[in-house]
Parts: sequence; structure tokens; C-alpha cells
Amino acid sequence: MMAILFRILRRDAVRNRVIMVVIFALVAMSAFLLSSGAGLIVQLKTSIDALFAQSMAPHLVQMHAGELDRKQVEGWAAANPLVDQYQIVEMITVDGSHLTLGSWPSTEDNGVMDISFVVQNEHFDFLLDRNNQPMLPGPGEIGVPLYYREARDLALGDRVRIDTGAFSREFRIAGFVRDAMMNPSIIHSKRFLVHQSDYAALRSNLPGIEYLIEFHLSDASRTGELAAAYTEARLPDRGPSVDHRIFRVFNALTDGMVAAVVVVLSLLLMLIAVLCLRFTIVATIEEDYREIGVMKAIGMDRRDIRRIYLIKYIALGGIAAVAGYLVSLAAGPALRANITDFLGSAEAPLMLQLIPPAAAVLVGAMVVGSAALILRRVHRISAVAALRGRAVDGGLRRVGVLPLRTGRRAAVNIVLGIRDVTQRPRLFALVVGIFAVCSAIILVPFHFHSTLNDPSLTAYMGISRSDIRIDLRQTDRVATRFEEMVDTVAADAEVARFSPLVTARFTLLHENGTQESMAVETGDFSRFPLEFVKGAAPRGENEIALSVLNAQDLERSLGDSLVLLVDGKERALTVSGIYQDVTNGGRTAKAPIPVELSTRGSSIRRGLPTWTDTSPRLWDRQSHNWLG
Amino acid sequence: MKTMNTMNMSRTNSTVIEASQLTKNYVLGKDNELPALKAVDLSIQRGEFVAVMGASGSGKSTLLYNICGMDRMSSGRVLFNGVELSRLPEPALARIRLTNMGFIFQQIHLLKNLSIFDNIVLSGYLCGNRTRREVEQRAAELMEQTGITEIAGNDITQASGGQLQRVGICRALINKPDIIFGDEPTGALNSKASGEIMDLLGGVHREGTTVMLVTHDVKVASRTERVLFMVDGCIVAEKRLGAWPTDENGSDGGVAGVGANADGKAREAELAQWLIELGF
Ligand SMILES: Nc1ncnc2c1ncn2[C@@H]1O[C@H](COP(=O)(O)OP(=O)(O)OP(=O)(O)O)[C@@H](O)[C@H]1O
Ligand SMILES: [Mg+2]
Repeated sequence: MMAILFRILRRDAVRNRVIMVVIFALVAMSAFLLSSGAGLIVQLKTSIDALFAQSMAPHLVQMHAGELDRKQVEGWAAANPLVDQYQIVEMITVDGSHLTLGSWPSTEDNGVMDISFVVQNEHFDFLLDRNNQPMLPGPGEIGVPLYYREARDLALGDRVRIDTGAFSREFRIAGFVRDAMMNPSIIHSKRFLVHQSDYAALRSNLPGIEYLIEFHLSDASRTGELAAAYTEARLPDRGPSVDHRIFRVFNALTDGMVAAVVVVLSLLLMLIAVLCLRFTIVATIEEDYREIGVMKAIGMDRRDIRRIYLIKYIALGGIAAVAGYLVSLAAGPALRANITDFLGSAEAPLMLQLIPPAAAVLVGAMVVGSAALILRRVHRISAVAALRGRAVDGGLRRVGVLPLRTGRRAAVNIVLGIRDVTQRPRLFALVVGIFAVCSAIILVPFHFHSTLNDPSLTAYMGISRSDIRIDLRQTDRVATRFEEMVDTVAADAEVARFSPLVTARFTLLHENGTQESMAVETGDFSRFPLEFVKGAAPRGENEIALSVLNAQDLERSLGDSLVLLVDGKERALTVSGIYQDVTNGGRTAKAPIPVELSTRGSSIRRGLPTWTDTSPRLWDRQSHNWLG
Repeated sequence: MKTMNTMNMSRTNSTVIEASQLTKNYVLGKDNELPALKAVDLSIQRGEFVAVMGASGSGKSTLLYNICGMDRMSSGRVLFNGVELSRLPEPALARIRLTNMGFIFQQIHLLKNLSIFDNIVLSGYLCGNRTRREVEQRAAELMEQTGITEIAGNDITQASGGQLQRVGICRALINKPDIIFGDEPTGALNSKASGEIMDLLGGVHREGTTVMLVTHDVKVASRTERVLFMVDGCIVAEKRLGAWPTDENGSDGGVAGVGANADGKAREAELAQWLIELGF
């Protein structure tokens, strides 16, 4: 039987060459993409895992700018049972205008990154070299964040120069560091690694010091508890506090999206392949209708009949899946280069290595499975009907036969064309379907691109739509800086609108008497629109808007109220709106409560007339005296 | 094909097909049924050579499809080798058709993607009662007997209508069936090719296989031994003819048998007379 099936296959392959080649190409392409996408995801996960393991990335980091009482923090950390290891990392912040990288023509003045210099950590949170080993630059050497290699076209041996006017020093690039925490370009902080002796010299000549208070937990999932305890203990917290899960997400973001797009494309291709399959199989069945009827009449088992037609799709799906997989094997290193470069090239565990071939097999199986499913219509053919010479049951339906002589004017070929469409609606629906999916394939990357570039995207992510947003860092003089900035912005003729916002912490009173600290952004929210999932921006002092996560956690929906302690007095606020947010861990709130400018982090937004240059560089130059 | 007459005798007592009160109504619409068979009684003995005749639309094909279990009867009963077909599920009916029945149609409808030889052996393989070697050997024998050995490896497009009909006979015989059904097997052939096919079927019959043919052709019917005449879904008359005369070599007298030819003409005339009396 196998031999005869094989002979069927051989004759058929010659007979229907074109359509077989098309389906083969589609299936192979889909298998290639799906197994490549799976490979990307596997590599991404493996590399991130390895990077996090080998760098011993911290589980919780509290950033702090300003004075720090080491004893207080260390005492607390030593006593807390959740903490496995802790360390206080000191960083020297370097003003971009004082830093020149390699032969790049300008200083980092225009760069968007906050730059700091560190030495290699002692216990954990290591900065790794290209072999994922903690890097130890010698005196005069420097480890530069990988991000700058591409961004500033750097190579090993290039020079990095700090020059403040009063003090200058030059380093030789000894390597590029992977920084589990600050690797991705979307994280706007970068750490440069130098030798202890150079660090000491910088320390005595540069004023800015910041701290990373880092914790390694015995149970990495309990960072939330530790963060809460930390806030409770009123320890230094001038700066954001970040969780290791966020680092992971950010590390995975760019390549993860690429992988996702690849997977979606592969699925679309597979859909087209299946549609084509349907097309050819239905055509074959219609063509072989009599033969199938006769086979049934002489008593062949319908499963055997089905197998006669299925064999070529088994062969086709199998070979195409293998071919696709082989191509993905060949192209794999190139496709994964970005990931292995930035995150390290760790070998995936065997179980994960099986996923890409399994993805290719899945594509083949889907093709064969759908062919088998479509071939079920063999069952519908009645032997007697086929022998009597009737058309396929349910195939050609009579749909109001259009007479040839409709009007005297209608051209015969047009009438015939319309007749063809009306008599075979399914067939034409299929063609339209294939066309639609093809269009989708072209449009997906395009939409992806335009979505990322659409300014309203940020409005959906919790950041209202403005041309420029300036965030002030936590420092001692933040209040005066904020005022200076507001004055300058107000006086600037290029600024059409602006809105100063201050984020402050308030105490939230639960019904059961417990308290919780909540960050609330305050200011005027009417000037820059934000997209609300439900409701609208808060107006008046008794309204508040919550991020989706906060609303879920607090079990509040539109119109509900919650009680905050404002100036020592209880104030009931009504929820006026709910919005999506990705900032600050997704847990934010917005309310127009007036606050003293002495408190914490603040941001200011400027709306510029759209015809002006809205690139942030213009702004950095003017504003760095506030930011610095 | 020579020593089979004795075997023929020994088998005639048993009944292959026994239909009683066989009724078939085609449902055309709501409350609109077309009675194609009206309580037909028919029994066919092992080794018989039967022809069914009648005007177009009289229900000949319907009768054939219902007694072989290809179509579902509306009421009545059909026993095949003593087994009641109406009680059996579809796969069991298919199995019986594959192993115990052979079919020859007006158009053979072979698979395009198989050679002529493969088309013949396919149902032998699928039947699974014999080894592949046995099936192939039998196929080779049958092709030899029907004179199509030289086109075994050909595409089905590389054969004449008469040759294809021979292929059909080989396919029908591959599993050594108890009975062969033919629905106008010569309907698409010229009279010479048609005569050759009837020679072959005569041989098959003499080897002991029961044969039942539906035909419009008096010449074809005259080669059989029992002719049934149908009108409007009923068998209204029946005529028995003796065994077809064979010449001294024992071969049939179709084209080659000169002596038998005159005999054949007489049979044909007699049958034609009978049919005219019936209003055919
Ligand atoms: N599927 C069907 N649905 C409805 N009526 C049918 C169907 N098949 C056959 N008939 C009708 O049943 C009657 C008997 O048909 P059948 O094909 O058995 O006649 P026949 O004697 O074989 O005719 P012919 O010599 O033309 O082949 C005819 O009137 C035919 O129109
Ligand atoms: Mg008929």
C-alpha cells in the first residue's frame, strides 16, 4: 500500500507542479518564521536568565540622590528576614557635557542618558564582560555600556574623556559591559565601570553622588513586601524604586516584540497556506468526483480513499516543515545576533532547544491536519449520485441562475462573469479571504511601526500627550529648581502651553482602619489630554483618577470614593476616571490637590507650537541647569 | 476457462441474491416521492448470467444499486449470501462490495495518478485478504486473459475505450467476487468492442462467477441466460435462454467461433421478438 501511495505521489507531483510549489513555499516560509520566532524567544529567555544569574541582578533597587545614612539602612537590612544580601552602591554622576566618547564629534551633552561612574560591585549586581564574567578594568581603563558601542560607534581601545574644565582624565576602553539593570536603550541611566583608583580621583573632583540601595532576596517574589517595609521604615527614598521584574521586561521588550511580529507573520502565512490548500483540495475533489464515487461504489473504505489524497499533503507538509526548519537553523545565528550581543549567548537547556524544531513540526502538522479536515468532504460524496453523474453535493449550489439575456445591453462576457461569481460564492469568498490575509501580512509591520511612532500611544500608556516632558530628579534643591524651571518655561515665547505637575505621597485610609502610602500626581490635568479607559480627568479638589492596576487593587470603579490624608485632614475623593499606565509600576493616581513644592519628584510639560523643532536636544541644553 | 462448467453446476443450487418486496422511493420534495421500485421480488442463483432490460427510467439502475447495498432501499429485504443487507452499517456494506462483489460501469473512472496496473491492484491491496504478491499475480493473470498486458504500465489516458473497459473487468475480478454487476458495461462501446467485452464476461460466467448486467442492447442481452424486463419499477416479464453455445475448442463463439455465430443470431432474433411483444 505504501508503495502505491508513493507512486500516486510521484505522478501527482509532476501533474500539479505550480500549486504544489506555491504551497510548499508558503508552508516552508511559515515553518521558517515560526521556528525562528520560537528560537528568538528561547534565546531571549535563556540569555536574560543567564545574564540575571551571572550578574546576580538585584531583586529590588531603591535609588537615592542626596545624603545617606549608611548605618541606618544597613541596620534595617541586616534585621529584615526577607533580605538575603544587600549593598549600597555609590555612583558618581557625570554631566554629559563633560564626557566625550571615542571620536564622536560632540560631548554627551545632547544625549538623553543619565551617566554615572562606578566600580565593580563586591557581592552581586555585577557588570559583565562579553563572556558574562564580572569585568575588572585596570587603572586607566574603562568598561563602557554596550549601548554606546553602536550609538557612538566605539571600539576597544578608543578613548573616553572626562573634562570639567578644572579636572580632566582619559580612559581607554577595555571592554563593553552588560548591565542587567541598565542594558536596554529605553532605560535612561547608564553605568561606566572604572578601576578603584580612578574612581577615587573622580570622587574627589566631581560633586554628584547618587546611591543604589540594592537588595537580594531569598524569595525573589516577595519584593513587594520588602518595598512596603522599606517605605514604612522611612528610609532614604529620593528616587524611584525598581523591581527585578521590570528589568526583565525592559530587557525583553525590543527583541520580544520582533519575535512576536515574526510569530504573527508566520501564523498569517500558515493561514494563507491553509486557504490555498483548501482551494486545491476542493478543486481536486470536484475534479475527481466521479473517481471518488466509483471507489466508494466498489467498496473502498472512505479512510483509504482519503489517504490516497492526503498522502501528498503529508509529504508536502513534512518536507516543507523540515526545509523551513533547516533554513531557520542556518539563519538562526544572524537572527539572534542582537540578543546574543546585548544579553549574552547562553546555551538553552535541552527542553527549550526542542521548541524551535517543535514549532516547525507544528506547522507541518497543522497543514496535514487541515488537509485531512478538508478532505473530510470526501465522505459527503455519494457513490450513487456520482455514478448517476450528478454534481458534487453541496458544491455547486443553484443560486438563482442569471439568464444570459438580461438586458439587451449587458455584454455576454460580463453576465458570464457575474454568473460565475454568484454560482460559486464559496470559491470567491476564498479568494477574497486570501487577499485579505495577504494585505494583513503587508500591513502588520507597517501598523506596528506607525503605532510605535504615534504620539497618542503615550496617551494610552499613562503619559499625557505633550511635545516635551521634563522630569526633575530628586535632589536637595528640587523645590527651587522646580520654581526656576516653571519661571523660565513661562517666559519662553516658544512654549504654547505648559503644566507643572508634582508627584507626592499621600496616606490612603482603608475602611478597616489600615493605612497605605500612595503616590499621587498633582496639578492641572485639563491642559494635556490623557486617554481614559473610563470616565474623564479629575476636576476640582474632590476628584481623583486611578490607573487601572490601582483601581483593581483598591477595588474602586467610577463614582466610588476613597479617603486620603491631606494636610493631616481626611478628604474623601470621588473616582472620576480610570486610565492605562505603564509608568511607576502601573500604580499611579492623578488628583488636582494643591501641594507644597517642597515634596517629591515633579515633572513639567511643555506644549510647543507644532512647527517648531521639538527634538529634546533643544531643551536639554536650556534645562540642564535645572536637571544637573 | 475450459473446465469450469462442472463447477458451475455444483454451485447453482445456492442463492446469491434474494430480494423480496424491494421498494425504493426517491424523495423529490416534501410529500413528493417518486416510486422507482415497486415491491420487486427477485432471486439470483449462484452461477447465473442475468440481463436486466427495460425502457429508460424503468428502474434498472435503481434495482442494481439497491441489491448491491450501494443505495438504501425504502422498504423490503435483500439477502446477499444469506446476509440481510438493510441491517448492515455503511462500512460493512462497503466491505462486502469490496470483497464479494465486482462492478463494471459504463465509464470506468480510473484514478489519474495511477498506472493501469496500479488501478487494478489498488482494490486488491485495500481488501487485504491476500498478500501483495498474490494480488499482483492475479492482476497479471487477468490482464493476460483480457489481453491488456502490454498497457499495464501506461497512464489511463493512453488506452482506448475498449481497453479501459477490460481494465474495469480486471478490477472487478481482482478479489475473486461471488457476483459481478454491470450497469451498461458496453454502453459506450462500438459493436465490435462490445462483442469482445461480452466474450470476456461469458468466460467469467463460465468460470463460475455470477453475472448481472443492465443493458439496452439486445445483442448483449442475448449472450446471457436469463433476461428480466422492467416497466415502471416492476419486473414484468422474464425469459430464460439456454447456455451460450461454445465451439469444439470450448472457447466462446463471439468473434472467432464461426459455428456459434449463426446460433447467436437466432438467439438474438428470438429475444428481439419477445421484447417487441412486450412493447420495448
Ligand atoms: N437520485 C434520484 N432522485 C430522484 N429520482 C431519481 C433519482 N435517481 C433516479 N431517479 C428516477 O428514478 C427512475 C428510475 O431511474 P433509473 O436510473 O433506475 O432508470 P434506468 O432504468 O436505469 O434508466 P436508464 O436506462 O436511463 O439508465 C427514473 O424515473 C429516474 O428519473
Ligand atoms: Mg440506468
